[in-house]
Amino acid sequence: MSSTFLLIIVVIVAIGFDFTNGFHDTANAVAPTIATGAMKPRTAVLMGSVLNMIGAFLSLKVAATVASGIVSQASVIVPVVFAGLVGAIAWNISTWYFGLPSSSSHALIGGVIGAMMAHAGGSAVHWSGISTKVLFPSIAAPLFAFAIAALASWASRSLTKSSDDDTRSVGLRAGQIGSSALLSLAHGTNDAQKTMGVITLALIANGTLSANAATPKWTIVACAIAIGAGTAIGGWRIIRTLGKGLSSLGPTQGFAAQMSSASVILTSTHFGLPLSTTYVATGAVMGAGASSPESVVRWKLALRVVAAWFITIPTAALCGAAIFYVIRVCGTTAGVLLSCVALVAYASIIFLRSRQDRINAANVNEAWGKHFEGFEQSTAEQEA
Amino acid sequence: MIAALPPIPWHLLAHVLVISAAFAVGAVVLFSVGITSISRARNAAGSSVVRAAASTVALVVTLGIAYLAFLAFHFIITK
Repeated sequence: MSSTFLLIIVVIVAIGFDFTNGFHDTANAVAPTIATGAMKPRTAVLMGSVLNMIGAFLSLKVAATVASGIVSQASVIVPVVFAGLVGAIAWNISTWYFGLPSSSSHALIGGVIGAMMAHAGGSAVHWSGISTKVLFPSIAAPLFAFAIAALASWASRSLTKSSDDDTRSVGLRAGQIGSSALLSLAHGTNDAQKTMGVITLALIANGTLSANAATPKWTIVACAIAIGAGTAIGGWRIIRTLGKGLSSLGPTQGFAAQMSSASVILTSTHFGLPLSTTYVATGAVMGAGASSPESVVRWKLALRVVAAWFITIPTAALCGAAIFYVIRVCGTTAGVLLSCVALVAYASIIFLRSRQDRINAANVNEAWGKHFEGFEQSTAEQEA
Repeated sequence: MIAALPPIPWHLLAHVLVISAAFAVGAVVLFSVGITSISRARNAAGSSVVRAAASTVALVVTLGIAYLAFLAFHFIITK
């Protein structure tokens, strides 16, 4: 297989990852808006899609961190990037099926780390960069979002206590639309850049770009379109978990959660921290719910979500390493083609299974406990 | 194989926490005050014209304050 052909496949797979990132993370920006009825599901998703696309053009700091801060650029080869991406896509599809809001960013970083360790050992991974720029911010960010959202929700509830229900409901829903728009923009600025960073890494590994080169413009455009298209599809299963499952949100909590998420994500993006927007959005939803006596937080479900967070990087790393070994054993051409076929087959099986218990715009807002038999129902008893 | 973990970047994290909290809580508080002002203006005694005018003034003031808050956030973030 020529290096150019392999590079083209890697770019296509990277754009595919960006697409999965879009539908996996649609929930982060629009789930509370849909859950409180501030916007119709399809309208909210469409708005999120357009603003994600615009957001992708606004900053490149996170792309630079992903391209240079995670693994040694000198040791990267194109199959490593390919294996990392396949591992991340497999994890994204799996968690989407179970409606778990896990981090696409951590899946990507984990996949690349695993493949890199299989290729060149642990010394080729920038553990220092991963700790300071990925792990610490990712642990701290959802806690920050939880605390800020709890405070904002409490403040809003106290201040609007004396206003009439109609004005409060209309006003806070309008605020939710604004904060949801801001959050979509923030998500686009943060998440699309991670794929840009990975494509840049592949171009550097192939010798197409020199080390520390800037992200090419076509990469920015391709990633913006892919994340926008993925968002437009609407990851209804995760929207349902975040909007209806984790907590019962009203307009006050929804507005506070979304404004807190947007602030944490935009500020982190400014400092070049590639944090997980999913963790921030989930932390904020739980914080806003926990501070309101009238809301229910389903801690059992929250524990499952947090458990998925902890295993995201190791699982994606294992997948990335396994794919890399397949390429090493079968040879680059056969290994890459075999991996692509396996990924498409796995995605098709998951998609067909998801059709048996379909969540869409029409039923995403139904009461928690009616879908995902065994998954929703086991966490629904808290409300009863 | 794996080097010792570096120190936690507390300074950077503290920046993120303080700026995020200031913007999020500030925006929510301003918005909530605006909603309460509009509600009070609507419920105030007087003709419907006076109530409508009071609501409009409250809305314009709220939007103005929110815009100034956004500018302040933008300034903090980009300086």
